[in-house]
Amino acid sequence: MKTKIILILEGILLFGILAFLFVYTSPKQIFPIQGMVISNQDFLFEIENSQEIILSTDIEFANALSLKEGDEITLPPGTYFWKVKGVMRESEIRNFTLESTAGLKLKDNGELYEIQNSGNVDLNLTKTIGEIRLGTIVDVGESKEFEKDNSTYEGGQIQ
Amino acid sequence: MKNKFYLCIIGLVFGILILQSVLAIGITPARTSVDFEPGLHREVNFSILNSEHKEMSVTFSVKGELAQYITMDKEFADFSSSEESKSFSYTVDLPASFDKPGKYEGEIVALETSKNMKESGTFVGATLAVITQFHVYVPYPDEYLETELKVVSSEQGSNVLFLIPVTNRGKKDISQVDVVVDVYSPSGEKISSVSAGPESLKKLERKELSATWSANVPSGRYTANATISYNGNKIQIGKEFDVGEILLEIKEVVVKDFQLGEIAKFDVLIQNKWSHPVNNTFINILVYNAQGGILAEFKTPNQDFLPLQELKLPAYWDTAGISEGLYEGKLVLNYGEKKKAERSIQLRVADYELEVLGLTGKVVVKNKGVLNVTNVLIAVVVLLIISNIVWFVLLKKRKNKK
Repeated sequence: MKTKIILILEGILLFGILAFLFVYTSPKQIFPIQGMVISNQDFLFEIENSQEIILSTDIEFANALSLKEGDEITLPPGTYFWKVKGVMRESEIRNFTLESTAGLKLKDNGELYEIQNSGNVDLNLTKTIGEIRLGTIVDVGESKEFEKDNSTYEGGQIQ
Repeated sequence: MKNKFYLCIIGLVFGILILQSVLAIGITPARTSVDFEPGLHREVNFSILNSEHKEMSVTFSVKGELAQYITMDKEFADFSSSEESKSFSYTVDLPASFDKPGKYEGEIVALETSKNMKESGTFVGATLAVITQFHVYVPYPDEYLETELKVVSSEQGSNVLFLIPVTNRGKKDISQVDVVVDVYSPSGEKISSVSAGPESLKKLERKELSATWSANVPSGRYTANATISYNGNKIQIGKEFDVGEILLEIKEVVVKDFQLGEIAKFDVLIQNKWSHPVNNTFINILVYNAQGGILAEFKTPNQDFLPLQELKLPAYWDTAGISEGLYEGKLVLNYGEKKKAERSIQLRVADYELEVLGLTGKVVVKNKGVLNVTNVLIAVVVLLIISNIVWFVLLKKRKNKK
């Protein structure tokens, strides 16, 4: 009788451990949270119990990207669906929206001004000094150098 | 207890800033688009980003053909260094009609000005301004397709995602839209084609077509040419994109004929391992004193690299007043339009010899590894389960013997 009780308890313990492992090791998404609108393009995916993120603009993931640890990626503005893959399991599908940002950074490198497109859309950059206006296109992340003067540099999304 | 890791997005991510950033401003969203409605009244929100956490003032102005229909809620705003972003709004009151179909534009310009300018009324130096656009689309009488090509790529060997948003700006439906994306190698040779669609588009409808390409190709700058076909019309769009990581390797740093107290010439041998030219490359070398302060900083001239080219770049350090010893240092490689990478080094300085240590290997930015705690935990639990099963079996055998 005593042995039978021990065996039952042992069975319950094993079942409990397996159930705990099943729940605890399920792949999870932590950040970005569901439905989040992100305006800062420098953000990090945070996940648990997984080594792979599947990212797509399509909820069916017909065309998807696979991201692994250490990957860096520049995403254009838009709504993205994502899930994480664990061992034999996948997480639920979540989405986030990356809002378009026009950003400029000016660095003084001594001899020249370096203007960088720090947003996530390609920009029409217009340099205005007095009556003179010069236009150029600066892609996302790209920098261009200009002579140091009192110009105004104006950046708007290209058409 | 958690197996967490982080994937860097970049966007952004442009590495470690070496140069002093003096001005920065961002605005989001970059554009708001609406389809025309007679007499439309709308309040549109936007935010100014103070990414450098600086004290600044922002002046707003409105321009463009829609300027007369746009009213700002504020014309001026101050930011403290603790304010990363602030929200503002403008109101749009559209007329009953526009003369012609097409796109009408208004622009809200946010001009960054220093607080000094506000106080003194004068400012010497450049100023930055960013624009949030308001676009109104008046439908064309027939079908009219507006499209663009976006390319999302990450590491070499993984998929490249082509996104082709298509919008019917016309009053007639488009029965079928097809997209073919041709991929060209850095040498201009067509290496692959992928397709998306077909899709139909009702009037004013927007859809996003996408296609993936498996980029099992060497690192380099590739070109995608998309052909979008609809109702007998064709639109072609091209875009360059990178596969893999632009990688420059510092092969060695040699200081010949060194004499302490004189000017030391560093010859830095760099190889472009990228199958595409990499422009505007230079190296900053920093030497630290015992307290961790910067003892010296010097750089090589800027240099453009051809594909796979290997070049020596010189840098000069005046060692007057420097003593013999081992100095900590840093080597910062700046290359391409947006890449920076750094590596810690040591400089062993003697009377007639200067040796740079710690340079083997590539200078690349990599994420730190994270200990996989969950796997360790799983292993422990599995061991416990096994030991329980063994114990269970032994108990059963003992019972059977009895």
